[in-house]
Amino acid sequence: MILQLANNIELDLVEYNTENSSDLKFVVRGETIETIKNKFVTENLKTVTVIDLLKRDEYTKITDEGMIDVPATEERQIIAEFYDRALGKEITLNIEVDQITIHLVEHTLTDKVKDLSDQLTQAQADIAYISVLSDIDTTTEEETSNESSI
Amino acid sequence: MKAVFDLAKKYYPQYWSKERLDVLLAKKKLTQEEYDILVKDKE
Repeated sequence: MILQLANNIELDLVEYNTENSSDLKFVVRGETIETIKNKFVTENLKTVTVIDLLKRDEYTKITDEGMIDVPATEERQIIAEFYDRALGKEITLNIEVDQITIHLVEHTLTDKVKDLSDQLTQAQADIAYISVLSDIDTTTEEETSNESSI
Repeated sequence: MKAVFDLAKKYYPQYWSKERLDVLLAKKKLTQEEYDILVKDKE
């Protein structure tokens, strides 16, 4: 199975539990806590897809015309898809089996408001900084102008 | 000058980086004393 995130990020999925949609549980392998934190960022969690791989080995088919070798195939089937999730507060690494358990939770309205509020404050801070620097430039221009008139 | 110090107090370190304070110090918008207070407070 595969756990696919936005931006074509794919993880090797061992086990999942999606019964509680507000707290999805996934067990993946071949990852570290660091790589999980790097991959499970807001942008990549806009879509989360659980994909089952249907693998069929090469086999020989007997028909009226004789025996035909059918090549191996791999088919992907989407089992579940979730949108706009956030990484939960627990990431557990099981060293013995190299598996990591993660939870994906729903963005609450409070989270969204906090994000927007942070963005607004950052914009205000940027404007304040630019204003302070612009003031320096304006002063310089005025001084230059005065010097010219003298 | 005090206004810039108040802004820096409000926005540093979450919204203004230390590099920004360095620029303000270099542009003499912050005094060395104010700069030291800001940086030391957040250490």
